[in-house]
Amino acid sequence: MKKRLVIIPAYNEDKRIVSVIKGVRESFPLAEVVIVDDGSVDNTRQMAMGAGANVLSHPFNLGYGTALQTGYKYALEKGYEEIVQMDGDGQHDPSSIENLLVVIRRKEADIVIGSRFLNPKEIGSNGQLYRALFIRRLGMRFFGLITSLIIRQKITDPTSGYQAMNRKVLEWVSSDKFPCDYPDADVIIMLHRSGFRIREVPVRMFENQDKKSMHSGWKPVYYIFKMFLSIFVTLMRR
Amino acid sequence: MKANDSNNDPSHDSLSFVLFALKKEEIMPIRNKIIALAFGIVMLLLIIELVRRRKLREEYSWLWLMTGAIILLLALWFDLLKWITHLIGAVTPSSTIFLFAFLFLILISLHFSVAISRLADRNKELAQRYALLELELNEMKKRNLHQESVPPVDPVRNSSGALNPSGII
Repeated sequence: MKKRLVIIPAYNEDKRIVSVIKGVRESFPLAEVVIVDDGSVDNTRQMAMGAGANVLSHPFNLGYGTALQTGYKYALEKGYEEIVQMDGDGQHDPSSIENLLVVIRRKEADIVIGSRFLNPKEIGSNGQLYRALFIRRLGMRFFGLITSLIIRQKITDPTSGYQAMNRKVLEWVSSDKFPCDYPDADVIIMLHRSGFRIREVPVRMFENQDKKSMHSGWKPVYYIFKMFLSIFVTLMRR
Repeated sequence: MKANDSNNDPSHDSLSFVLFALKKEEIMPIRNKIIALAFGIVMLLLIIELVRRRKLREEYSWLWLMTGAIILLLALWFDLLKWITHLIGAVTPSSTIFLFAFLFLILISLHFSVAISRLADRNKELAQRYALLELELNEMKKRNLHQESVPPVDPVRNSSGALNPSGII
């Protein structure tokens, strides 16, 4: 029996984290769950511990990418072989975990990305289907296109945080090669250049109701700049 | 006669204009010299004092010591400054000083950006290790509590806590 872990980074999610953990347990009872509390100032840590999950707590806020990597390092240290990552805000429908993992289990890919844009006909049963602002959708499309062109494989949702990976990829993302600020399209390109097989499968995502997005204020501008720079230097590294 | 006139007028071609400007400032005004010397000396003393009090690491002190030393050197050896001014094609020695001061500040800022990036990486690394170790510690504590609820069997001491007199385990 292979050891499976679901990594859930969370920052100030004490209202949702328990239902997220329960959702994962119900739809995927075989996996263990680790919450990476990224220096939350609310009760995320206590709520997650109360729900019986293992909690890794950053002493202060370090950002989404770093929280993910803390989870990766934990998985690597503890010898997990199949890893799923999903967001702690309830955006990702846990019933899709199996769709991601089955690709890893059949060894058809090393990393699987859950795409909200593949198969748009599927509509969430207990939540609204994912909709995004036009400008954001445009950005996603644009970086999706760049990524697709570079790796010569169609990628529809490079910003998706809903992914599954095997141990080989886990070793790579736990190393200092992993870009900890806004890891996204650039990681896909880096993984492709390191020779990993990438696959996208459709997943269900719900709209994020009241939480402020990770990409707000000046952050989109920085995000676009960072993504260009990161992709550019990745291509230069060879 | 006319041609001779224009030759004597220093503003007409750039080289003679530079030489004229340098000649005008042939010696450093004594007040400038005193201020530059005082500034250089105070700066050197301040840096050495900061290092002595461990407020500034030796690693970073050498840059500032060099700056102080260069200020002193240029104050005492004005010809060097004039020579550099001529070499880079600046008009007055003061613009040479400003140019190099500006370049130095840009470079030192870049150096600090690199240093901060390295510190941020280490900080991240530390916080991650802390989180991993904390979880491990909590798990160990939990396991220990669990074990303590069942009275531990101590091979050396008997149930009343006295040492086993026979010493045979």
